Amino acid sequence: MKSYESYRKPAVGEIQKIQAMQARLIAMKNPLLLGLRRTIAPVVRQTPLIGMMRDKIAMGVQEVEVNTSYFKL
Amino acid sequence: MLSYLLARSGVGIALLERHQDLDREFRGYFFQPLVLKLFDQIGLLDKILQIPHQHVDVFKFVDHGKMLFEVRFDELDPPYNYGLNMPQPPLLEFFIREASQFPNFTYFGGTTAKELMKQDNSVIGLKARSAEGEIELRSRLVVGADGRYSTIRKLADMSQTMDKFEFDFVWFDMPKRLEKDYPLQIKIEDRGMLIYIPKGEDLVQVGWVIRKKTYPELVKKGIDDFIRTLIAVEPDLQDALPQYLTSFKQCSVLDIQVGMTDEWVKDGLLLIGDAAHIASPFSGQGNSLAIQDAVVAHDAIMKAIASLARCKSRR
Repeated sequence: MKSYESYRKPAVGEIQKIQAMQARLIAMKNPLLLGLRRTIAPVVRQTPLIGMMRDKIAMGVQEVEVNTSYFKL
Repeated sequence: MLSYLLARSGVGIALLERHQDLDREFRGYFFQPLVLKLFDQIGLLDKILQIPHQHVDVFKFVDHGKMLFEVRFDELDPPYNYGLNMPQPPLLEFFIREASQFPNFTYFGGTTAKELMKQDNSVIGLKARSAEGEIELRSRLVVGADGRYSTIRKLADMSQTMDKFEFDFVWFDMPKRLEKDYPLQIKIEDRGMLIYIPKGEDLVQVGWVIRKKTYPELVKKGIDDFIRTLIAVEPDLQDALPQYLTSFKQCSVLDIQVGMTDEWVKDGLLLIGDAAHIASPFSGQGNSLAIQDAVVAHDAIMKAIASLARCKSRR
């Protein structure tokens, strides 16, 4: 298992990438940009970023196991 | 969770909770499937599933009527192929009850941390206050798992870098209509973004995203205008919403913050969960990240304790 220090930052960074994209989606108000986004939506849905976002939400950003070898009971 | 893991590993633990009871409003209900696996690894999943909860099979992101993507938890490998919607208070009470079985665990309810005790550059414990008076707890490690407004973080003078996330979240609970399905869903339209979060058997939490600090403007336009906006985005609300939502008094505002502490470890001090990193509510990650923190921290702390014991035995 990695150290706590080495674990956290990349994992949280992944979440923040996803959230930055969500923020951009929410913030879009300009009718021209909205129209453009609707036009390219079918392509966007196929991009790896969308797949990555889906997978991270489904499975989490890191693989973590409880180290039960320490348990006394 | 970390207190439980450490107590079960034979470490002396004092858990401080600021409130007298845990039965207060928590917003995070959702736990990702990976958390089921962690609960199972410690042999508590079956007992936890006796707490009232709902299975979440799918998390939908709908963009202008089209599915942007859907997260199919039910397509993951069984048995961890669903998300868990569970209120936090009974889950926290459960972990405290389980940890209390260990003689090396002590719970201090209604006890507020007031000051970190330091020696040289190390934290060596804390002073806290309860109804009975002040207490002093000496400890090799103080863990701040006290949320986004962490007192421990402030006492340790650890800075945070906040991301620009210019939104707030207005939400209210609404009774479910029997015939309607309420999946965990984010729906984006030109007029805004609406979120459904199932909450227990009978309620659904409805969220509406607004630009930061614009809630007073929303209130000024009136509840009827708010209802019309919501119905424009989600026509299914047409029947129930005007009857149910009659006042902004039924609404709460969540100040959405996203950020991370610049450091989360000092000698004798560790921050975990929202105290270390605040996730936005949109991906349902906050609870799961906090539990993963506890799991990783447990391993790191036990390794440190073993290393300390080896050093002492060599002397």
